[in-house]
Amino acid sequence: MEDRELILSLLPKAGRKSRPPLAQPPLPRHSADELWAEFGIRLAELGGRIGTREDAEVILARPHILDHESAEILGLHSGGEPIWDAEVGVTTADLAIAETGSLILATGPHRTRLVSLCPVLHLVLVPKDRIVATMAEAFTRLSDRTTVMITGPSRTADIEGILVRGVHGPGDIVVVPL
Amino acid sequence: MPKGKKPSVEAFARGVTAETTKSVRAASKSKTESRIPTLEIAFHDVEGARTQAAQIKEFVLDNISSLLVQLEAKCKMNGIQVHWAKDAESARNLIARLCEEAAPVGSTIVKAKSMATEEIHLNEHLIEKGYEVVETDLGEYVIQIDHDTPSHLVTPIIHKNKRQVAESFSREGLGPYTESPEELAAQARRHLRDRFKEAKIGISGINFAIAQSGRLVLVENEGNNRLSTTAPDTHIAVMGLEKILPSEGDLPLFLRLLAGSATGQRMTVYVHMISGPRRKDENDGPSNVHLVILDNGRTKVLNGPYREILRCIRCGACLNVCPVYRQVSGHAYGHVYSGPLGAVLAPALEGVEQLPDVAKASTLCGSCEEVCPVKIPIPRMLLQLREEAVRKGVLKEPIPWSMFVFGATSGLRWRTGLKLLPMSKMAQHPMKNGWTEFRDLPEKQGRDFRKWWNGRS
Amino acid sequence: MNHVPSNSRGTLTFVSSKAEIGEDLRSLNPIGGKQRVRLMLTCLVDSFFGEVGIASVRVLEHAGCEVLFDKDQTCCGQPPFNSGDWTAARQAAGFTMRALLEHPEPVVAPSGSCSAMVREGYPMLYEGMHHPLVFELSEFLVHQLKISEWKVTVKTLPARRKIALHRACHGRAIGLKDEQAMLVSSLPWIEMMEFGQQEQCCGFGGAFCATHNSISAGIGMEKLHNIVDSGAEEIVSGDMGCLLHLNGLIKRHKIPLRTRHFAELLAEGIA
Ligand code: SF4
Repeated sequence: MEDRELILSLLPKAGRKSRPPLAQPPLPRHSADELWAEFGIRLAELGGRIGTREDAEVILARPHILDHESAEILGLHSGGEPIWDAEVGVTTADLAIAETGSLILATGPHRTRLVSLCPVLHLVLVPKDRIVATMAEAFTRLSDRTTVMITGPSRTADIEGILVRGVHGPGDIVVVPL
Repeated sequence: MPKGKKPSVEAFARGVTAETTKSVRAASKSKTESRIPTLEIAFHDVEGARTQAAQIKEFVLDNISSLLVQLEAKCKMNGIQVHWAKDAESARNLIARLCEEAAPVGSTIVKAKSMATEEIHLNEHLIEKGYEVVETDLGEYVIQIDHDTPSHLVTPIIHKNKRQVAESFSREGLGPYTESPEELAAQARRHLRDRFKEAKIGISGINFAIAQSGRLVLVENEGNNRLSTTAPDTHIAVMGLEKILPSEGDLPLFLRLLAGSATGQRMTVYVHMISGPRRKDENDGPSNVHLVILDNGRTKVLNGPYREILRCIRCGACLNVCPVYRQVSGHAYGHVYSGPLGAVLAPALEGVEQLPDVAKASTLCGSCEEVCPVKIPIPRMLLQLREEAVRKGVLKEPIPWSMFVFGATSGLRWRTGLKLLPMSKMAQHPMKNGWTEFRDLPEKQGRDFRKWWNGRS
Repeated sequence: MNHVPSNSRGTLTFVSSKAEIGEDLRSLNPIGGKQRVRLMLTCLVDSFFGEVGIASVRVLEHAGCEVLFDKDQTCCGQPPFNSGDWTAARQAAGFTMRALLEHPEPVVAPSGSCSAMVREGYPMLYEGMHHPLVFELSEFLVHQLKISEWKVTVKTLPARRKIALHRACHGRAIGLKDEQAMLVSSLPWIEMMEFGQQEQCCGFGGAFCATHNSISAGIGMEKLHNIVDSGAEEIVSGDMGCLLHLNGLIKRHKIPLRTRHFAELLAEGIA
């Protein structure tokens, strides 16, 4: 604890200033369909896409791993390939964010974080009502568990600033609103 | 780079190849060009957003002591083990101990890109201890196999082109020679997958630590950061003590400012918000999460004239826009922190005696302050650092300003000097060689103002 | 930290902040009478570019001002200030304050850099000092005199030509935006060319250009290449520092470009 006490003693004494308020822009009122349309545009800009249930079935012909909840939605058994070998990882999302095309995935009972990360394609099934307009709105509803916000496919521009998708995480992302 | 023997920025610049300058300029420009349009979409009022972010960071610095205690308490409640390190050595020893507790010497440690661990030279230390340390960010991986150092906060191999990366990869046997960035990235992905599978420990930095909830926030585009902090059984995160945000409600503002300022993206691909080790009912994730809170000079900075530099969120926008950085690249600054940010932060952390000249490597054009998402007055602090260095006598000033001022504090002496000016071409002047190496000397052009003025009245 | 020298306190015309500068002016100048201004010539114009000073006077008079010139002015002290020698800078600043600022009239300088030094630099040299009432020329014309279009009175217009306007960086420190561009683009014989990396610094940086000469020259050459590529024949700027440096490179490399201060362009339109 020595370093702790030392550092705390060196820090400037607590200021009494109250924190600056966050300007909250008024929440736009949109229907879920409008929000999904916006979401689709943003996702496409990033190289992801919106799919249908039929698309999902085609994708599932490839070696895949399904998490618990997505299996339930599709009426299938969860599991599949070992996580490091699956080409497709199928999960649900807790929320979709229209303004940025982002998805919120919290950990939770029986959830496996790596399903959304290791495969080359991430198939995401999202109940239609789980969409919000803004990130600010989404962040008021965060679960207290470890959570990831995913915005588009994995990418890098480390080599000469040239965009490459799928460097470590999935290079493809297909979102199916259901 | 060893301390003390660092060449001056100008001396280093003379060895920078045209190829390097070309790479750095091109990448810097493209990031700068996409910055404004992205931010304008994200915020109705970009200026207002920057002001707000600056105010929130100021609040953090004002209340840093109580926020850190709050963060510590919340992290502990979340099951994150919190450690404090007063300096680089203390941090290295602490992290080595945590590694020894987590996995036998010889095990693989995967690293996600982190400036804090670069700052404390962690890799060398852990390798010395016998661990296999693997950088997993594509750029950082290239840096590691080339025994190089990062030249940019966000894009560490900005000074290299694809041919150089291709040569390194084929030398290391990652696959057949290719200059296609896609192929190169695929080779890295294949190679590093095995490392992730076998790794026992993952080490990362953090971007934000939320005091109110004890959550650690990491942002990245590739996915290696998530892999490094998810696959191994132990995760060690290192943060500079200023990296706090008061609440989760602050994240949308900061995440968007960071993504837009850094790379012109609307949002970074992965925002990983870690609330502790894996819980019993969860299928994966590390069972131990450690947070190391690092001082290493920061308390000194907080109490001094360069305090505002600790608002920095490491977006790199000031580097991207800086004409000097674009010309010389990051290595010229001789420190892990380069560019305008580094020219202030490095001497502020280490003392102006250690790095007396980096603050001089600036034209004071002000573009850094103009782009900074937290409005850090970088030019003002560069001036203050110059003043400190001259006052303390650690920087030899080549120009005898007292002589100049002798002439500039009397109208008569000044006017006499003006008359002698045409003859000064012959005279030696401390600035002359610096001027004439690349330029012709200026000559008086057109009419003389004072003669004209006197003539009309 | 040093305080404002007592011998120059009290009589100085200081305003409290950047934002209020515009407001204070009206009370200083009786409406109806001629606006009186003091010219801050700047040391570079004094030493090398007399025509810029002459043009500045003509421009201000054409805009309806009465111009005063104090012969004892020298240099604002920015060179030692930027080099870190603040003891020397304070001596030059103290002298400049007595020569230029102890008067009721606003001071106008044909330089963003020197205006910034006095307005933003002096308060760093003297704790508690307010920002002095000094204006850059285009700032003064546009914001104080509300001129957005230059009134051309010459009978025969000068020959058409293409120019590149380099926005000098120190204007940032005093919040200059497109004032110079606005005035210059209202001259019918001038075609303003867009060029690559238009916003980037030219690499001058005061003493930097001699102490970091290879970097400075590298940045300068990039600027010149971009300007040549644009098809411009002339570089126009509001700061002679930039032009001094660029001109040195132009001559050394025999680049087909001329350099001019924007005040000289405005003066071309005055009969
Ligand atoms: S100083 Fe500002 S612009 Fe530079 S890296 Fe830090 S936050 Fe970004």
